[in-house]
Amino acid sequence: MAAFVLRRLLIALPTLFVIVTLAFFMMRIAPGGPFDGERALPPEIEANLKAAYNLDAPLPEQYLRYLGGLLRGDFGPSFKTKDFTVAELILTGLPVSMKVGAGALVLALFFGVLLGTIGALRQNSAIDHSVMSLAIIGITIPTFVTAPVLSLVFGVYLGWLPAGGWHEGSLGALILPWIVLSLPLIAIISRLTRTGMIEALRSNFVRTARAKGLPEPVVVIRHALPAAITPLVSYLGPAAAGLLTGSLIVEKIFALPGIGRYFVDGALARDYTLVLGVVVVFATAIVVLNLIADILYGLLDPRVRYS
Amino acid sequence: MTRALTVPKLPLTRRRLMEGALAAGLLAGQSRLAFAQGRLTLHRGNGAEPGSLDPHRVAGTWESRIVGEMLMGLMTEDAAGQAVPGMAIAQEASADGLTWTFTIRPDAVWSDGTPVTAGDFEYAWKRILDPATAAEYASILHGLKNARAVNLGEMPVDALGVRASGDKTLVVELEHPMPYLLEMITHTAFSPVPRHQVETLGEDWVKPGSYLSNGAYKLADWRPNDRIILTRNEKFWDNANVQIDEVIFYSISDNNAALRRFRTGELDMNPGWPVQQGPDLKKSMPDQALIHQMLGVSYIVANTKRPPFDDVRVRKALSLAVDRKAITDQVFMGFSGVPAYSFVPTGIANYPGTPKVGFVDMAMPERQAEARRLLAEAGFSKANPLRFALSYRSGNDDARRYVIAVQAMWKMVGIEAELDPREPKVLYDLLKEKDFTVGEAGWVADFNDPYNFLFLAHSKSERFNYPNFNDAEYDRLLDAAEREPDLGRRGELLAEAEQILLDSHTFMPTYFLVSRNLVGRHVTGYVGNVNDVYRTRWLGIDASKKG
Repeated sequence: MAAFVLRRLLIALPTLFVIVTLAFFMMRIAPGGPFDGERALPPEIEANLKAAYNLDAPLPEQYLRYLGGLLRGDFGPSFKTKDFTVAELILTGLPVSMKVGAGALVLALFFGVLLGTIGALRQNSAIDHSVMSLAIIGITIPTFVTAPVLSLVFGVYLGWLPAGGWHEGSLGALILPWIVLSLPLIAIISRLTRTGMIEALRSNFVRTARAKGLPEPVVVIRHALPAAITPLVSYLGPAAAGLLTGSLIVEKIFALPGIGRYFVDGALARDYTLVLGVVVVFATAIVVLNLIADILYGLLDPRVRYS
Repeated sequence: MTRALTVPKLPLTRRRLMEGALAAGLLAGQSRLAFAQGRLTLHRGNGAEPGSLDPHRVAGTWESRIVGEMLMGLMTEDAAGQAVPGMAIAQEASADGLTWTFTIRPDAVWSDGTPVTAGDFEYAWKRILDPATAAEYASILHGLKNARAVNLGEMPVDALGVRASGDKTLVVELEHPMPYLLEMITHTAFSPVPRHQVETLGEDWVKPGSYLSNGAYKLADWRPNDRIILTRNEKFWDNANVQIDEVIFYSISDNNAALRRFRTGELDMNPGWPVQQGPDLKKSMPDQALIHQMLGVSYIVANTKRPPFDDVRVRKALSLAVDRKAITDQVFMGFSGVPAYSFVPTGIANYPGTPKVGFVDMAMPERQAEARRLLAEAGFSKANPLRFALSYRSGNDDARRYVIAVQAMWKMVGIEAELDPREPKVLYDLLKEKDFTVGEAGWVADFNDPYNFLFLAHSKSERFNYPNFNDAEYDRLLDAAEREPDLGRRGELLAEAEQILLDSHTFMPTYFLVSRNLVGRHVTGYVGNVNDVYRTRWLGIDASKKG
């Protein structure tokens, strides 16, 4: 397995290189620049600024300079948040995004798998239909609707939780973001689990387990469940990467200091280095979490070989 | 004059429930603790995340709002946003208005106890103009002697017309008389910096722990995109009169989110509230959702380099057809602007304020008939309508509603405008490069003087002069006004120039901007003002009205 992991990581390096290169040049093709604003700068001041940030050098030179910095772990200065480097911004924001995302992931997995399993065990019953209807609702209502509504109800009207803000990472500030982020995931996970579980319950190894006289809970949890959630694992790799690197909408509506907003805000502000920094983080997260998903496959399904 | 919304209030917030067991268990203990110790904390929303707290690197109001709490210039703002002495206790201008001598407050010290000297000002103003600093706002200092050449790198920094004469005397030389000088130097760009600290730490002097203040507050902590905590600066010369011990600025770019947090009591103040919520707020919290006119104008520009907009008849038709009152009263429901018939906002200082567009007193049907006539004269008809793209800022609901209304108004006189949404950065780039046909733009004053609006249309202000307005007489009047030491005569020259600008219909003013502020009814000392500046040092909290 070590060889497998090593090989995958070696393949990841050129992948990251291609992503960074594409992102670098795509950002630069976009019209407008970091110093365009409501107040047009006098040409001489714009020239001073461009020189200060090396933006006056030819593009290939800027690119090589950026890559060189990246290899030394230097993500460069942020054009917009000038008092911080991109690395500082990501290092303070990433733990926040991960805390929000990890909590939502745990919630989503627990309730998604639970609801999906119940649905499968009581297939076509009233419970099954209501669980699956809820799932459809969870998928169709976007987070930019659930977030303000929950904030209004639990924050403003009931006053049980803060309407927004990080509050130094207190539990109260995390509950609503966790719920909002996990709702659509619960919906998808429960549907994936239900389908997988129905298939697993009909398979030969489950029939064998039942024939051995094992109690039903053991049959479901130990034998059917691992097979049922295999499709889920491949979905979870990229989904977890998305969750852990932050959500623009949830971070904006709840005013959370994560890195999810940097991608869109940075792109709109033409904060080239910040966007590239977030791209590197996101791409790395996808590569690593996909690798973890592939390793999990092997643990869940004995037929899978690492090759 | 603050225009409070005047409809009886309804009890809406249920803040008391926050005291409930659940809330007590879940909320962070910080504010509760602060309250227990009898410290007064003010929680202020701040819109966007500041890019910097270095006065030479800031560019936005959301940055200067915080820097202005910590750094105090020669002049500063009073509770009503008006210029009052800050670090200067006296100033004297020479007869020709070109040399000013400021005396620095003898008891002023930085938060580390080091005295604030004239040298700190000299150092700061040279630093912001040094090309190596690459300060975005350096141009606001270009009225200082040799400033432009220094900023361009054509002259050494030492050629700048500012020098410390001893520790407490600052001599400032100007390129031309500036009757608005005392107003202008309240701007953050004119702040002093602690020379000893900046020379030792370089750019890192702005980090919490290193930042030195000479104002009412000092920097305690900054978590990007979350909050910036400022605490009382005990060394501030007027500390005895400061009531609030701690002020926390939160970055909340979404006005709806800020409003929710204001309603729960998490915020005491916020610079903005959603226009769409206006009717509801007018009912539920008329004494807390405030609007006030400010020194800003929203306008439409037509590129005179692109036919047929080189024809004044066509431009005038565009302007005639825009019903300003319908925009402010119906589209914005009275919550986002007042009709503008001049380019310089009404109520500005140093100005007679007489110029108006010629059709100000005409009724809309008359104006529309006149617009149709002008268009026909210029060769447009039903079969051959005037067609063009109207570029505007995307991602802003108010801007979208506004241009949709303008489009419909033009349609009524037979003009076919196609909406062309652009990312703000792209729009400003197109305007600057004159790569547009018709566009919407806006300007907020840096200081309270008509020149700060009229210079935009000077033929030398290339990058601000989006429509390529070029009029020798206009330039002459503006240049003459700049050299005119008599304030009354200067105002007349500027007014004469503005009338020329208005008659050209190149910059078509549509509405003057208003500020929308949420201010808790327990916040004392708030005075709504055109500069939209509310320094915490003048504010207090009346605990009996909280909750």
